[in-house]
Amino acid sequence: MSATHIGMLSVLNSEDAICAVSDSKFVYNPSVKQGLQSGAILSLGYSQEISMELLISSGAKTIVHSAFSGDFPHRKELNKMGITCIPNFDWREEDPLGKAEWLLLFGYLTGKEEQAKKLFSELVISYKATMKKVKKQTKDQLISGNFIRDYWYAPAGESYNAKLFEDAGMNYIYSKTKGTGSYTVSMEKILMDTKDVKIWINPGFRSRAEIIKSNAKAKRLNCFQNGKIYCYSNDLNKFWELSAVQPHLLLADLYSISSIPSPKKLHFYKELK
Amino acid sequence: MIKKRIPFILVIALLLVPLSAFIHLSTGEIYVSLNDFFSAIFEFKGNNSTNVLIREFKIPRILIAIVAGGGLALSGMLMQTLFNNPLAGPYVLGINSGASLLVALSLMSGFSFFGSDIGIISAALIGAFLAGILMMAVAQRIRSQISLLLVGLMFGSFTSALVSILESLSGEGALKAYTLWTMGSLLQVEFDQLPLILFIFICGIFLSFILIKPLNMLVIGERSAGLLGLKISQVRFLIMGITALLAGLITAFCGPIAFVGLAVPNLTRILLRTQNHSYLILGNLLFGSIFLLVCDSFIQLFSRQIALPINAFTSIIGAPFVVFILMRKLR
Repeated sequence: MSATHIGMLSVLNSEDAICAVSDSKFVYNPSVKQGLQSGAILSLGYSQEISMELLISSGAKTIVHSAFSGDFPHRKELNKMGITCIPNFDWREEDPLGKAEWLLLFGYLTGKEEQAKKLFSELVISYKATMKKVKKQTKDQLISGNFIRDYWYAPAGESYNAKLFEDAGMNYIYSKTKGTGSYTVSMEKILMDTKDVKIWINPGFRSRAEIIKSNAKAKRLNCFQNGKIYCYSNDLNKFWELSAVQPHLLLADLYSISSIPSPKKLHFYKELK
Repeated sequence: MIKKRIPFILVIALLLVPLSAFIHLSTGEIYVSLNDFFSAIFEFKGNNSTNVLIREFKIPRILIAIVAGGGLALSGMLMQTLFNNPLAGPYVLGINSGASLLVALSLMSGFSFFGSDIGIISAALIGAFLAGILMMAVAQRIRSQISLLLVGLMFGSFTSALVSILESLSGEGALKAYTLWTMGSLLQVEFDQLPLILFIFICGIFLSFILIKPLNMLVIGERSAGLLGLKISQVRFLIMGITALLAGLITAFCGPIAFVGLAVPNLTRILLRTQNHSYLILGNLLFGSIFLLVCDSFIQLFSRQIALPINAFTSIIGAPFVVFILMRKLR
């Protein structure tokens, strides 16, 4: 079970349906954490190498998995034992609302279809309301991503993140690039491309010092020297768990970052000092 | 004829270094004119992006390619002469493995000093030196060249296993930092670090030149050189020290860069056809620099299509060349 799945169950108040999770150290939800501590919820280890023995002993009847590497291991044997494996492809979604729509699956699984539909339609209304607030004016340029050794990896123009930036009315410099994954940029190019950039989103670190420690060249970027840097590092586990099912709050954060000089109330984001 | 041929080749190589540097400068994704280049050097303005690009990105990259190429080739040549084995080199004989093991230990130890730049550099230098001492001790007992190379490879496998254990025990951040470090890079060096790097590099070259006579004597074999009055243990220690200093310095700042220390000294010997180390030292410095500048120019040229790590690229070029040397030797 991925972090986003726990988030979707939590907005339906169905955490009690969870009997086991993988990667338990990334759990944000307080009641799931408590369940893990008390032993009511089993920790199955890392998602790539979960303990099948623990999984079977957890008494789970349904396994929701991300299917990053295809089929769930031993799916046929588990099926024979009456355990159903459901692949969840929310991570493939390029539209934030499309990703949130997977909430409906959890609604069906927990018998709360109507509640899930209602929640989904509410978040769609909220999301679109924020989109309507976006004014068509030239805004500060924005960059996203960070260096991984010698290259900068930014969200490509057709990716989930690029769509969020567009919906929030942000002036993302690689919005016109093709692809739904990453857009790779050399160090030289990123330096020149970002010379007028004022906002840096999602460097993946909690502080400016951590960014420099990871790659000292980052301090040469204009957005590092003269711009503002925001990351979802307010609480990393909260972001991974809830951002998919609360895209309206994510969009509200991004809208505030691009429209207000010093936004105070952010749900997921934090300015890096 | 021979006397004229070698200086001629060396002069050509000397001219090829600035030419390769110029090609390197031109193959970057952002074009800069020579005017921009000189204005960044002589009239640097911190708020001018082109100036920053040249001073903080392009110049350190070119200079570190020259230092790393020349330094690795030189340390490879020293190892080959010391072990009297054309397949010796800092990578094959475990010098890089020693440096990598200590860097892995320092990155994954959790102590902030070891995770800092100075900590990593110290770890790489100490690791390289300890591995060199170990290999020297083994070389005292094992006379067979092939066996010695196998010991080097086994040492490499042993350190890899230890690194794997460390990886499985370490956190995500340290694991990522180490994995990225192993890819090698010519882009992590800062302009401010260049004086220190160049100082150590020049010290290594200077010490190598002091050893020309002993190196030439070692060509006839350690025993014969000893009979001619060479203080073998002293020379061994110095050679190993210079190798560890150069290979450790480069591994510390650039990560591992495979095959340069193995392929370039052999290429230099093939081209110069001499055992005179005054020529070989110069040749290795020049050809090593050209080799790495050209490799990195290719990486720059294809950077839009594919993000190639330098360590992988030098291996792709170097490995077939080493196979060629092996086949030549077996014939």
